[in-house]
Amino acid sequence: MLRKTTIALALSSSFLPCLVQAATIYDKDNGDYLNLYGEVGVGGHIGTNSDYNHDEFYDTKSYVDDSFATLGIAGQESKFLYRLELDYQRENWLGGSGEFALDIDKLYVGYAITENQWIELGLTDTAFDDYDHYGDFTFNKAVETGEAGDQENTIKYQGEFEYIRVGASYSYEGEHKNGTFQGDIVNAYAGVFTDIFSFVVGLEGRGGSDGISKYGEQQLLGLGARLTVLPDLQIGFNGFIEDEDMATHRSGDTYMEYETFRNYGATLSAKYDWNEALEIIASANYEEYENWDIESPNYDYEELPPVFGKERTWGSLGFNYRPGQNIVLSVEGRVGEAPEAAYAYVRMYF
Amino acid sequence: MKKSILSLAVASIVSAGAHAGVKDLLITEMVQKEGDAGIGSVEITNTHATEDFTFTDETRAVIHSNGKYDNDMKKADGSLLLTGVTIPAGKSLVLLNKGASDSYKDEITKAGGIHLVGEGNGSYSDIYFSGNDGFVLEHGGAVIDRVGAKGDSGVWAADSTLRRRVNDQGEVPGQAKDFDAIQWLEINPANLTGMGSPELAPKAEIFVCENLTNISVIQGEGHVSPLKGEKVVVQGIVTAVAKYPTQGFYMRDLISDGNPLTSDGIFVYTKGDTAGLKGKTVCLQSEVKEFYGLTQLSPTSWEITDDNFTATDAVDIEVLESDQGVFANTLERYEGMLVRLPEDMDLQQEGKQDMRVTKTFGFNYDSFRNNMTLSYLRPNFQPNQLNVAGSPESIAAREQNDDYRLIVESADKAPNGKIPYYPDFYSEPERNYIRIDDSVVGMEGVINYSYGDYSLTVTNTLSSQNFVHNLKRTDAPELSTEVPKDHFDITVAAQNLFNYFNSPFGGDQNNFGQNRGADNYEEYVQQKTKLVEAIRGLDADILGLMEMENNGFGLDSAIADLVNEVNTFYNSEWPEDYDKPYSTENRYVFVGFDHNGNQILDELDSIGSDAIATGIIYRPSKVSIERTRVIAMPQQKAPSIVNDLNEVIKDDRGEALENGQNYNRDALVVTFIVNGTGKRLSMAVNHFKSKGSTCWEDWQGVEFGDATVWEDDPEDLDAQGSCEHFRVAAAYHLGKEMEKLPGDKIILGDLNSYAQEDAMLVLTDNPRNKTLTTASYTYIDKKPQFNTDGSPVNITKSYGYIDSVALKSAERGETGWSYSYNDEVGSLDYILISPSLSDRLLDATDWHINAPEASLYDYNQEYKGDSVDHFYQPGQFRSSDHDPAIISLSYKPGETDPGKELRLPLWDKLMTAPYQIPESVEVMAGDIAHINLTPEDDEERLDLTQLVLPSVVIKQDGQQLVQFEVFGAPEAAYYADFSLRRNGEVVPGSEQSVLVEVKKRDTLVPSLVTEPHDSTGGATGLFGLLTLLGLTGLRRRWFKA
Repeated sequence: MLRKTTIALALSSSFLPCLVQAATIYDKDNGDYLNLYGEVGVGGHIGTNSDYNHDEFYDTKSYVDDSFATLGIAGQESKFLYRLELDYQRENWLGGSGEFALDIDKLYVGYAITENQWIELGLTDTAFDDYDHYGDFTFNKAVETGEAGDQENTIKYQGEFEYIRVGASYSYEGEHKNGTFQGDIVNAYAGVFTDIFSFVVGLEGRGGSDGISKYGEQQLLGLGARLTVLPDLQIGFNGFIEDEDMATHRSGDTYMEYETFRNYGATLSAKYDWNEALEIIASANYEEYENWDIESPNYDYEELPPVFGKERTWGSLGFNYRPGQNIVLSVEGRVGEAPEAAYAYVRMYF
Repeated sequence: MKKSILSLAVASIVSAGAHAGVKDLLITEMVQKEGDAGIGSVEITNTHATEDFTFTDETRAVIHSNGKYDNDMKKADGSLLLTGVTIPAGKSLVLLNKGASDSYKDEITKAGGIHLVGEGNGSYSDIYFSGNDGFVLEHGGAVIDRVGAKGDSGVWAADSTLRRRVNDQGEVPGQAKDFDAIQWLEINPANLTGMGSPELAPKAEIFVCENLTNISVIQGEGHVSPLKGEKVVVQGIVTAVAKYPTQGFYMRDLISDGNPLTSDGIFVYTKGDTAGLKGKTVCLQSEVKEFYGLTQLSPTSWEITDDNFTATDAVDIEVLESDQGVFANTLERYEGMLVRLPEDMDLQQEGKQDMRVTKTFGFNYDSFRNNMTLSYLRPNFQPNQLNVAGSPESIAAREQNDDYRLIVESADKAPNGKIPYYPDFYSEPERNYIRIDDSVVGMEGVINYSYGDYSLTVTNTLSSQNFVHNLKRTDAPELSTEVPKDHFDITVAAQNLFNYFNSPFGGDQNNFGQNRGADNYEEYVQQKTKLVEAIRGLDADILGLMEMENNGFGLDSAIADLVNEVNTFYNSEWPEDYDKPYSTENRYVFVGFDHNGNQILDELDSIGSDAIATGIIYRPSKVSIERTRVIAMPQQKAPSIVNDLNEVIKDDRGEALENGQNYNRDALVVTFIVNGTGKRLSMAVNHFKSKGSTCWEDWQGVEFGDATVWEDDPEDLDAQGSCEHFRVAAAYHLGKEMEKLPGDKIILGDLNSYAQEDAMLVLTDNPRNKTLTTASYTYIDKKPQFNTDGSPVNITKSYGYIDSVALKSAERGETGWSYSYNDEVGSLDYILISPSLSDRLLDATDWHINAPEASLYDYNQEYKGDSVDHFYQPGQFRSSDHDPAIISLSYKPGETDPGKELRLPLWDKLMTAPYQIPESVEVMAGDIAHINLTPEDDEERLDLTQLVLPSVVIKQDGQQLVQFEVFGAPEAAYYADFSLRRNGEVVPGSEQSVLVEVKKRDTLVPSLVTEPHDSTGGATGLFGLLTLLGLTGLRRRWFKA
């Protein structure tokens, strides 16, 4: 409680002066700046399907709220960068409380080595998090890549060159988003970016919890790619292969007998710009998790096997409508073995 | 016999014109066979010519059951069976058992009779004849007609049809309140022909004692009489009269023919009391019969030709070369004779070939009475004990057991606990016990052959001298613990507790609502007393227990209850008594398993799904626990067995014949560290599914048709009993799970498999590559063990464990065994060791305190007749039905598993640190050994102010082991640096640095043990991570197809 109150105060005091619009607080000639930014989004998952709900939602019901707000400041002083970002989000994932919670999403300082290379230290995205859905045009992100996401105690390097972008990060004693210890995490990406075709390859390695949690070692290979077919039509591909060690036995507080589970996922998506305000987006998706596979030697028979079997395929069709520069209305319908019938959202940026 | 004449006879006696009355009723025929109640039946005829007879309550059908109890026959509704039934004039009524076949009923109808099934309403009120039952017609409370002698409890009609004879005048006889065998023609084997017809048998023939035939001529030299079927007149001296195995007497030729290949004696089948005939000379006429392999005479009457007593000397049984190694050939030569069992039966062979007890005195479910079984040369070993189940050798062993068997009967029925020919057995049971493998010498009796087995009905009175104990009772197992120099021993044992339940007597409740143990407090105290004595006698450092009540690990659990009592003997706390048997150093603690994971050891931590579970106790002074584990064992979740109409088939008790749900007890696994070493010893305690009740596989292939009740046992061609495939699944799973544990391993417990049965071939070795198939539909918890469709697999892997007891027994020229079933012995209880332990194995043995003993000596009060508690002694004998097994292992102080630290237990702040001086160092008296301890982790900031590190002066040249008694080292990991100094200088090559873990000795209160992590959970550090990221091939399965 104490922590929440303290943050609420911090939020209030920095939020009041610039409640309704994004603002550049200052932008000096020497390049130093301080920006305040944020977004407010309201919407959620409609018609969630218990048969196809793998680990998406804390509860299966007609509407699972996914509302979200974020507020952050980012700035630069000389070659030093800094950023603080607060998220107010609903813990609607499996095992979550279903309640809103405030947490600090980013808290780092950085240093610009050159104009196009910099490092960050603190609580930030791991490197590959920036590109883990590069080939996925859907608003709600279709297939989760499963990389580490935000991590504390992270050091990250990123570089952007004419056609090349690279990044790498190391996180000390990483955690799952549910707070469970996972061990040290490194990941990296490298990509080629042009107007016609771009792709990025990401890698992640996880040290494992050494018996402290169910998470053991992990390796992940991800790929994202975009191709501009017509001026108004882009297609994208996003996919991953993951080997994740999970404990299959527990004695008291000690997890053991970690076995490797092989997971795959892929999204093929397309985005068509109908006009400046309207985008139409479609996707076809495939996921295969070994712990869904009843034939797997390590299948956990404590629960009945998923209705969809060892893999899941679904498609989506939706649109993003931008009535203004900083507002997006998104509706996406899903067919096939999808965990929900539709996703609808309004998001405003400032 | 001419039917027309006899039918006329019936008609002729009918009193014309009179109404049929009860005096017109006559019991005219009876059929009964031991072991086949379905054909048991009795015929009642209304002999009146013209009038029907209708029964009222006044006239009753009564079975004189077992020659003892008169039971009214009733209908299913409880009313009298015959009331309201009408027998037409001159017709017969046949009373049938409910198992009577339809074809039998058709035969009765064809013969003109009527039939009635006597279903009864419980309480022995159904028609049930089984060889020893009589039948009575009562009217107004008085017997009016009878078949079978009153009070004859013998099997007087083992397989017989008895047909009433006409009287001397050739007319229908009158009713008879007393049974006179001469009035009845006996037909053997039983024959159903004629049942339902009022036809009578002809009157008995009169014979003249002349044209005599010698018994030896009747017997001949073969198994079948050369005079079979011929009518002979024989005169001989009665040598014995007996009711068992078949009622009758034995007679011999007046003068032997001197030919050892022919028997001089013969069995004469009779009814009624013939006890007075012994020693008399009788003459009789009979057809020579072969009754299921027994040459016998069954005369209607006999004549006593010499009333004086003539003694008969018993003849020693001698095995001849002409018997060709077939013991049945030997006994056949003595069939019907009075014989003696000598000390040595085969004078051609070295040593003494004698008869051994293979089933001690007690109830025999085959013959359904108390008796004993002997075997030639040795007890009968279960065929799969030494031969691969199903192999030709196993089949040959089974045949040899059948050949060597000799059942010992008493002339009169033996009451529970009393042996008629051995009165001392009852009068001083603590001294005059009979154990399996006893040599029986000097027993005399007559040889019979019944139901495929030879028997000897004892005629002399025996004493303890006649029973030579080859396996003596001992107060401790004969186990060598002699170790090489500087080594010490650890003993490990397995013991079955015979269903030790304490919940009805103040213990924690089990979750299954069952009690399979003591029925009352007295039994409970007796059981506990015996088990405690056995455990103390075993004196093992680690003891695996089977058949413990599954009521958790709380303070009032069965295991706590038992350990507390065991420990009371170990009561001297004086350090100077540390090596005495009664020192507290010998106290045990049980291993607790927090099975429900609530971090408390209590009554909720029951293991698995059975009311009994396994347990482990150990001595903290000898070993320490590193980890505990429960291995969930396969369960069978198969379909129920149904008939062609998809109805669940029931057994004779009304339970589902096989509901497809079967269980192995979960295995308890403990990894111990041997104190003073770094050696790990992982031990799994098991109790596999029993052979008794069936599994799904056992009924496959059986054609049930539309039967809803099935009483037959399934076929068991390979003598593995039920569920061998299920035990294969268990053995495979256990072997696989144990592979995950490091170090030396032991699998012990009741594996419910003889040594060469399928499950054992999985755990040990399968040199003949026998196809070993698992059960179907097996699950580990909820997970299919093999295929998701439930189909079984063939196990091609064996785990190479060594049967320690078999190995060491063979070295001693013995065969180990731990269990007796029927009249065969074999091993069900094992201590299997991994090959890594074979060099450490000092000795292994069964301790024969239970299986060789009669169940009369156990704690139970049931089935002992008047002898409740008469046989009970508060010692270890018959504390269970399985023998314990025990092994000794050798360890050297200071030795470790590779990469493992030395475990040094602290006791009162003292610990002993072993220094193994390298063999390359020439140690001299006067050298001084030093020790230094350095904490492994500097940051622990240990308080070492009390640390005392002694120096030890070497007392003799060549000493290789020095034990430092270190005081005051806090619990922690240290580097122990040892060295040897001579004249103040370190002796070159003597320095050693050893990582040791100093930890308090395990307490006598069981504590929670969490398994240490198994290093599969990662945490490889940054460098390793970068290596991973460097795509060492996206993990081990990157290139997997």
